[in-house]
Amino acid sequence: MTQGKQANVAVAANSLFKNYGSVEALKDVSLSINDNEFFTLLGPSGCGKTTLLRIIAGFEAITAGTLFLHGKNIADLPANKRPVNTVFQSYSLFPHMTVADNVGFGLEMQGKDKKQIKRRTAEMLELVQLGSYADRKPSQLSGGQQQRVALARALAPQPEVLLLDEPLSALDLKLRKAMRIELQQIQENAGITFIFVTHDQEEALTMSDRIAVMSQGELQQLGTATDIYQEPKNKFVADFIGESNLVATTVLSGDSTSIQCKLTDRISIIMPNAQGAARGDQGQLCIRPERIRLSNAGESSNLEGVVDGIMYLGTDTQVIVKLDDRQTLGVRTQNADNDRPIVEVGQRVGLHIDESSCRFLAV
Amino acid sequence: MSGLVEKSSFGGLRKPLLLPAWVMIGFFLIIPVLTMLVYSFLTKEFRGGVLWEFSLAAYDQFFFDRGLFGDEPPKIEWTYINIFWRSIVQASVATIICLVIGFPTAYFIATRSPKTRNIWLFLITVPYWVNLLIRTVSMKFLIRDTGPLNHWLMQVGLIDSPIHMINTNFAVQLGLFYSYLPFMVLPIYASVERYNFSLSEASADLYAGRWTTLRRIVLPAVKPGIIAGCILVFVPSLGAFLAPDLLGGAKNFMIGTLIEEQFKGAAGNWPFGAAASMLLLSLVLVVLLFYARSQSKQALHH
Repeated sequence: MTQGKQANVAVAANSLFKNYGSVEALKDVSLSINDNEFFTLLGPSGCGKTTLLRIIAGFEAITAGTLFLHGKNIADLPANKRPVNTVFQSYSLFPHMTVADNVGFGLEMQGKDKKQIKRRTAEMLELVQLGSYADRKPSQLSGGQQQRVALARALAPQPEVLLLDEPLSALDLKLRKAMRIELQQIQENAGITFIFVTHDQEEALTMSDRIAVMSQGELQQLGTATDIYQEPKNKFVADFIGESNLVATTVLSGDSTSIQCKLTDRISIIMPNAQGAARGDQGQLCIRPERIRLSNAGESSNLEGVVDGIMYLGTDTQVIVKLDDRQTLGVRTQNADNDRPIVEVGQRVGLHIDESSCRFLAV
Repeated sequence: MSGLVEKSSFGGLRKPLLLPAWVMIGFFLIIPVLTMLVYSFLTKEFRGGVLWEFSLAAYDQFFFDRGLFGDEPPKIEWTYINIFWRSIVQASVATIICLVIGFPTAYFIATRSPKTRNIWLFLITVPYWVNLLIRTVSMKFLIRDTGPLNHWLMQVGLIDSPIHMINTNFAVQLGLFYSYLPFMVLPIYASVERYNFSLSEASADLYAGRWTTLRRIVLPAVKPGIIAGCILVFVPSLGAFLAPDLLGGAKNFMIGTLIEEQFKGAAGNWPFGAAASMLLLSLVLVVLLFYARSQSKQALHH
């Protein structure tokens, strides 16, 4: 409750629960989102991220918990009384109104006078580079243009928080990438808190100040892109964000700073003790594929395996290596790296793991 | 693929396959309407039926009064024009009542879960399994002075003496409303069901209250359904004769009853009935024309 009163916190949710009948869509979600932050809710479909967004917008009531916007309890405020605006996934532009009327609708409802509405609408359309489309109907615009109108419409009333529900998912890849940069710039210029919902980890990693990873109605981890990628808290986060080699393991020995975990019967890895693990703990060993380097067999490597598969990915190549104890590891090699060995399926190779980047995950 | 069947896909069979439709339209639309049109310009025969002599007498009789023997200077005859006017008013009122009650009903049904929607729609259509005449007669029985409704109202103690409902405008409206309500509910339901409710959310998100959202967002989106419903109620109400005849009595004569009488028994006047039908048809066509114009205007906007 106290955190809701701090000036720099835009949205503070405390122990939010949401049930649909017997289905628990949100389970004890607590988070606080700062002013002017680009905050992303990331997770697979059905993880509760859209439910959380709709709760903040006021379209869904909470079952239990508290919700504060700039220190004000908004849990019981209807959607039309909350100073937040939404960019809907399918845009939801009013089909019978022109682009300008769509953008001006929120201002009109706020009771702004005609001159003000006209000026602000023009300003917003200029911002999204659709100044000359003011008199068109939404159906006369392309998907990308409709997306911009939706953004302009939501920004026009100057909301305290802007909610974006997978706004890029309907666009093609090229446009999506261009819009990412544009959205970031608009966010920086407008100085409004953005809460962005997506299932696309790349989108989340590239755009966000902070990311909340969700799964099955629960908050899994909250942090910056680097935090979440480099220090995943659990197996789900490690697996969902980027790619991970997850190997069942046991902590063989260790202290508060570093631990030694079993990789194969013969080989173990020494890594930082990020989660306070102790000897005998069972869990997962997380090794990022780009943190493994390949070499020719017998070249000063005590870990060897046989190439089981090769996937060419343009900038990278993914090599699957089967270790001697049948465990497989994915390895990312950069195609620009001229020192990398050229491998073939069936070839025996040596592996060098960057041990300090590995993590032990208890759950 | 639905609706994308190309003309050529039926090849030479196209014309024969369309034949049943043309036969239907010919026998049940073109021939009857043409017959009426021709009859309206013929001379009446006194025992019903027509003499094959061209005459404008039927139309003349509708609009002008030339005295008992037809030799006085023509004065405007208000009787039939008034009946016409009353029919328009009655049909309009019935349409408005159906709209006011039908829209919330349709909206309610369309916002239920898909399973319960079908049950509601079923309930709306159940009365239509019974013939219109039987339903209207039952209504007459229910609301007459000594009928169950008055009996019940008195037993409950709401009234001391029976309310006279039969042979009033109220009874006619009740009959029309009961007859044509589903024609309002079903098209509106269809358009509300297609309505994207996230538009209402967007409207609320942009600070609009419920009524503003209804007026500014929902109504424009479901307007085609509302117009279709209004036409489907207005047109048959205009020509209705069962409800006015059985529930309205002689004072609440409507155009449908007037036409019906012209073709009944020896007192009838077939050319006059045909002429009144033609005038009614013209009025309906004008209404439909306005509808078509507004539709094509809308289509231009999209």
